Amino acid sequence: MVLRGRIWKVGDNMKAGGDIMPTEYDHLGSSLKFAELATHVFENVLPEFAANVRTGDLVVAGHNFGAGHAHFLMSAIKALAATGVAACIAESYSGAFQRRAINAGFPAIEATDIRATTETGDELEVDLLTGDGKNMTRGCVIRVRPVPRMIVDILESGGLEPYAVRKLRSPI
Amino acid sequence: MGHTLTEKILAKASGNASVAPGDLVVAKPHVIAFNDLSAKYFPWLEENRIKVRDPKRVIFCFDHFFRASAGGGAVEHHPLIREFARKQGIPGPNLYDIGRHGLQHQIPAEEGWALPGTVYIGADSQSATMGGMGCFALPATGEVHVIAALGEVWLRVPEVTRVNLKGELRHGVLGKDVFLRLMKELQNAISGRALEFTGPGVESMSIDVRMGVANGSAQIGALTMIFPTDRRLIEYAGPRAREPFEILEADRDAEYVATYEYDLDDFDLMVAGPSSIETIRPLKEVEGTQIHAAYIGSCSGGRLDDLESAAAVLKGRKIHPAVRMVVTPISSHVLREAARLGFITALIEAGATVTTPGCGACYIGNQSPLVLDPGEVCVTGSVEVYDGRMGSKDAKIYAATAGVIAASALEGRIADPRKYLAT
Repeated sequence: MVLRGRIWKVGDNMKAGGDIMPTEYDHLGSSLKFAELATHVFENVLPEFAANVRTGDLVVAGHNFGAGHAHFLMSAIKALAATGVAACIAESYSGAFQRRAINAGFPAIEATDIRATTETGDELEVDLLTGDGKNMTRGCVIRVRPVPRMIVDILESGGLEPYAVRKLRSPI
Repeated sequence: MGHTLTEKILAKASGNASVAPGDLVVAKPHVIAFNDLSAKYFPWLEENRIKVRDPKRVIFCFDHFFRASAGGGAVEHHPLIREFARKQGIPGPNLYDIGRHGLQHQIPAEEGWALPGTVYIGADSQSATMGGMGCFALPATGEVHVIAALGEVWLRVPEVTRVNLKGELRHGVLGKDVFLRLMKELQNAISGRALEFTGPGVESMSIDVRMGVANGSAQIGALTMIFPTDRRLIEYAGPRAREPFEILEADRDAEYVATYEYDLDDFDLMVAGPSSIETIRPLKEVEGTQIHAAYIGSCSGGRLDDLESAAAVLKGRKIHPAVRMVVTPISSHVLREAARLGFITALIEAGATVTTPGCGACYIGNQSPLVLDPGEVCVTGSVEVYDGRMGSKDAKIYAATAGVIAASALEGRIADPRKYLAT
């Protein structure tokens, strides 16, 4: 599974409720209006994001991505996915954010020191299984933590539910 | 090189000789605990004609929804769960229905479902609470039904942060105070890891206190927390366990990404809020704040230790006339024990009211009799303090330990319980 896209870079401790999505739009998340919630993603952090994000873009983040109250996790993940962002690559994730994202079919990848070799606007390409990648804009090699085959299968199935349905229907 | 307790539990549950952080494992859970919000998971199972892999290991705890009126709650959800259980072959006693009801963050411990050394799956964000029972407790919101269908859960073995404890908590200092201090100091340092407790200080902590601490995992940003299986846990779990369990221990030379040392003697009464659980201060900084409502309850602060602490402060006294106090025991079992020990009498005679066990006033949607009006201030045993959580968005909520809540109800303002406690 290979990702290629333009990146948006954010910092450490991005809260699911507060930074990824503003908490005052919680009602949109609760009523599953993720397309509308998507128009507010990163509003408090990157005001230019919502208007300029393109399908296939990637988010690069620091430590503890998805911090704060677990209540906002799913809404933040679904809203981020609804913006067209194809994946997030963070130095580390808070709590169960990474797990929730993968189960929802949204690639949440880890990479150490990724922010040292990337800037907003850079074009990145990365092979999730091998962990090998390149910053096409800067011409340098990047590494992400390789993603286990099973997790790639879950992501390629569209999330844990479709993965499980396939698995139960075709016993190995 | 030695292994952490997390590695040992996950190795055993996944059938591996050993595992290391980062490894992808597929583990067999020992028990899968749903609650009464879980009917939302049934359509996926029913539309795909899926039966849960091991119905004997699935339990339901009725804890959120007790609305008797039409339009939701007990009227709709409880019958759906009973019907689902019948169709799936989930044994009747696995449903903790009215009379046996209580929180999914308590019943699995009381009823011998959550066992040391096993993988526990819970349907709620606070499900790491069961780490107090020495199991790897995964909060599995959004995937619990799939885990039940497959009979297995995928996991990347987490790195582990160690919290090494010595000393002993002072009288009246409970799980909430430990959690709040760890939250204040470690919140952005844990980042999805497991947190394991070690050290001689653990033995001094009751199981209630351990669960009160582990309850705060999600807020701190840990994937889960695990307490060791020591003599005290064996005494608690042994008579209750539905199956034999193996005592797994972290090796002395296990590798942790970080170790934090704490002396339990240094822990003091803390208060969180208002508005943000991250605003954490020593009690003395908020003492004197007028209050209108007090709540003893929730997965954080509704256990026997909490009711005992509140009863000790309130026995023979009357709460302030301008304060309304609601007590919601965490389970039917705790309600019975509290009644037997005289705690309920002390609380009622002081002027508090006691409700049926459940999540209660923690969340306005649960229809507790405790609802906050604009301008009111409440001190609560729950961990949610954001504006609007317990009623009006213009009410303020502080979270504290049971003794503080009781003393505050007595005085009509946030107060120190120690002046009311015999030495």
